[in-house]
Amino acid sequence: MQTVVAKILAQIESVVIGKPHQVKLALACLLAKGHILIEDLPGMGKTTLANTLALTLGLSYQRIQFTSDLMPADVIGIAIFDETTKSFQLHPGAIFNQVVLADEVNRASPKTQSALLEAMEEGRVSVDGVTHQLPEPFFVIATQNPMSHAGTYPLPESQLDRFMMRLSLGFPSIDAEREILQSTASHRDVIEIKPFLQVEQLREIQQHISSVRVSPAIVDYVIALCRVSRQSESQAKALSPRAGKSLLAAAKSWAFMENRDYVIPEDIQAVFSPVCEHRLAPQQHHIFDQTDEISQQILSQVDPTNPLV
Amino acid sequence: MTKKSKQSIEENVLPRKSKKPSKNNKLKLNGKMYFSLLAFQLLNLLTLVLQFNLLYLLFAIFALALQFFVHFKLVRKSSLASPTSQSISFYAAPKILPSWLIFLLAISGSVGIAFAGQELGLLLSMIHLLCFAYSLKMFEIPSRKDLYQLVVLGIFVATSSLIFIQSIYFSLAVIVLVLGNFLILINLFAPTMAMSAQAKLLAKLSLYSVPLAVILFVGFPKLSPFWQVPNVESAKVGLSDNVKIGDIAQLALSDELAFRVSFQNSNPEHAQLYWRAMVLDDFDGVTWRQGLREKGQRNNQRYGSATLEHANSSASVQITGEGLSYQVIAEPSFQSWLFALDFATSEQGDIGQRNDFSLFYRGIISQTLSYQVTSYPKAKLAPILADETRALNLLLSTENNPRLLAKGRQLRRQYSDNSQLINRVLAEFNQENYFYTLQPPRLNNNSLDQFYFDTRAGFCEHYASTFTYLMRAAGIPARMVVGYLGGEFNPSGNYLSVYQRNAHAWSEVWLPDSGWQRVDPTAAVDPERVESGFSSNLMQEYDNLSSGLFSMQPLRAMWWYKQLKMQIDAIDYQWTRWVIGYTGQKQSRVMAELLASLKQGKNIVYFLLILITIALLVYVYKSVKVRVKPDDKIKALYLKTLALMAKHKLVKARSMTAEQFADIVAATRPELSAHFTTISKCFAHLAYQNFDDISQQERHIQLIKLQSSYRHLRWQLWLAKFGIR
Repeated sequence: MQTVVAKILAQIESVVIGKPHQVKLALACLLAKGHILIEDLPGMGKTTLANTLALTLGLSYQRIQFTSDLMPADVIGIAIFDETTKSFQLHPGAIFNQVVLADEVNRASPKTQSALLEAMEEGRVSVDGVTHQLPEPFFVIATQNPMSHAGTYPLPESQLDRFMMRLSLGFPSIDAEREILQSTASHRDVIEIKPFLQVEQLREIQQHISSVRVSPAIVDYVIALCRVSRQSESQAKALSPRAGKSLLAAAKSWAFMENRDYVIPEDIQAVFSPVCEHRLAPQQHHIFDQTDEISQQILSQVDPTNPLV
Repeated sequence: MTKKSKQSIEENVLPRKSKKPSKNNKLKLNGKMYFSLLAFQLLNLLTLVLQFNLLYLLFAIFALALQFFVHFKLVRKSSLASPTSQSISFYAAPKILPSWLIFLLAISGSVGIAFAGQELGLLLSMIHLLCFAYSLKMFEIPSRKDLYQLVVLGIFVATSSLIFIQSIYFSLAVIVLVLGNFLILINLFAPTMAMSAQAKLLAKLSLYSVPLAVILFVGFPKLSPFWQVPNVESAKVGLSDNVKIGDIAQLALSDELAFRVSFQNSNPEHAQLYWRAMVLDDFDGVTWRQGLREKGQRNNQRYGSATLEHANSSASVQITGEGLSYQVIAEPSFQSWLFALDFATSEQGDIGQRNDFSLFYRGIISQTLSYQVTSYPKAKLAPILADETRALNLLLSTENNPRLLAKGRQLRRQYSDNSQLINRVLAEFNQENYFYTLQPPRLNNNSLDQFYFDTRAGFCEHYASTFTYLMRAAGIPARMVVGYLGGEFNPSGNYLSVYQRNAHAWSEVWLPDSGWQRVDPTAAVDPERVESGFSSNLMQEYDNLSSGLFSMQPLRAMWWYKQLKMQIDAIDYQWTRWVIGYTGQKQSRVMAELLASLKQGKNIVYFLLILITIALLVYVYKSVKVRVKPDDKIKALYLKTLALMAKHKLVKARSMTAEQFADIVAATRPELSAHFTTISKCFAHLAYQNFDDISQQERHIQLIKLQSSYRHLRWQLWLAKFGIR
């Protein structure tokens, strides 16, 4: 199973050049059934990463470019009266796909944003009082431009919380940039990427990840981290139990990718800032590989070997 | 002390600490404080009350009463004036006596003590001076400093009473009193502290001082006192060196302890326990004395060494048979004779022997004295009698007891054989109507005649005197020996207590073929007395005589009373033996033994055992203190390891995981990494991976392994301190 994951990783890394850590985190997040928010400047490869992820996992994929005039119906779909059956028929929107790439999600109006985010949380949508189940698995990969750019609607905290991780790709290194510039592959080549997984296999992997063992010591560590965030005197928000759950799920996934069937504190530490930073400091944007100040500060306050003292 | 009053102390006393004491700002104290100071002064002085001169006693009582009266009045006045206000109950010590009067009193008192010094002796006059100062100091406490002096003086007064009385109960009482004085001091230093907290602090401090006290007691050189303890108790109950008829019967009513004995091996029978104290060989018809006429003439010969070597070399003793070793702890008698079984030898340098075979101490026994004796019961005493001694022991004052003299001469004519004659006299005692009683009828001048022929009722000294007199009249050298007979065995302490009521007198006759021979005429009259102590008749008599207002007799008969008394006595014995009896000599002996045993290899094992025991105790204490949950032992060990590493400047950053830190250690201190990585790995393994399916037993095995790694690591770190890798 891990070999498949390694192959997937290798393929994505061949497309998204020079960002192995972010790629691994993103994959871990998807394997843990979490949605990802990728936040970066335009042209940093956000879309490429999202595309590659979806295609490599062999899932149905649709991209929605969010604009300020995008309506919720465009995302979810609309019920149209069918003359032949004399009934309303759903015309599904872009969201009825296994992977939805919500590009520049902060450009859409809050109403449209919340339609998407509700769908993410519930895993189903309601159109005219009829509930429609979304496909399974269902991932949203949203990208976002930093708020300072004009014409954006920042995501509210409650909706940020729905993303398991927030990632940023950041500028590539010199070597990576050289490789990017020299490569002949165009943006369109991404579409030709071969899927490595069947849906069945993905389910199996997800099953496996959920059975990764978490010792009481790890749970204590997570609790201690959450508690420290609540005692913090800074402006930071506190970590909710849901944040703790996401943290554990991400850590399990990370442990799986590290070829382990149990979680160690290193796993928690590896996923802590992508999982928690956007919950702790929603208004601070996570760009240019800035150090994740608040989450690092919290991490530094807890001793993983003796967390609850 | 109530909360409110504490607050007011804070207001009134504490601010003084910051300010410099000035004349206007006098020390103010609570009325309760003054009264407790007075009460403790009274108690401290009470410990010495038996030693005080009457004049001083009157002065002290007067001073205390005056103080009490003045403070009582002041407190009442203040509470009447403003019953609600609390701060009013704090007041500066009033000037009861003007300063010039105190000065005058101090001078005149000191002069008075100096004049009385002749009579009191150095020690007592010093104690009087101390107590006098203590009494006067109470009138002059304007500042805190004076108060401290007062309390410390009190502690000195209380402890100096231990010079005179050393029984365990009195010592305990003095310790309690001293602790009470300390409590007052704590109260002065920390008035805002709750009473219970003060007591706790006191208990803690006292506990801490115990090991130090023990070390000082065992190891600090015991200086011999600079003073001569005065012979204040010369009127003490006990044997005296001139015995009148009836004296010992009086003594037999005393329950006071004379001495205690612990035998090294088995205890001899009661009838063997004739504790010789002294020999009285001069009889003027009324009183028996030690040979006065000899005194002064031949001091050199009268006193000799008591060692076995000396006895072997001298012609006056033939030692045969097994020796019997025992330790005697004598109560202070303010005399110098010692108690031992015949024939006694002692290797102690401060013990000598008279030529009448009694032991004596080269000094006055003013404190409990412990000495080691070896006796040879089968030794032959004086196989050859010196002419002088023979003459002395045949000497008779003929004017007082003519009838007895005649009886003796008649016996001599009747029996040519000495032992037949002796048996005849004893048989008369036994078969004719002689009574053994604690209440002998009063005798007139011709006391022995009257007793032997008329009253026929007497105590041991009657029989011994009469017998000795008869022997001398018959031409057999005889003398009276006084001492003690028997003793009460305490099984719980395995020792023998000899009381004053065990006082006894018997005779010694000199026979050509057996030397000095003990003859106890009492045995002929009342064999039970010799074989097992007081007979029931005598006991009855004893109870009737000794019971005052209420009879102890029913109590005495009760089993538990006897047991209790025995237990208490055993405690007192151990106290006397180990604490009071721990003299300078003994101390140097203990130290020498300790050193010698340390030099011997095998005793190092004992020493190590002691060390191990201490280490074990420390370990138990620590493990109790940390209170680790049993399944968290490995984690505890890991944390302990971290603490150890931190001590050696290898500090784990808080957020570092076990493995990360192990890697860092491996990189920076590769020589430590083997053991540290083992511990870290095992900890991480059990904490994160193998946390749910490992048995307690496996955990335990792991723990033991880790502990050994820990020890190695500690050792390596320790070595590293000295640059050894």
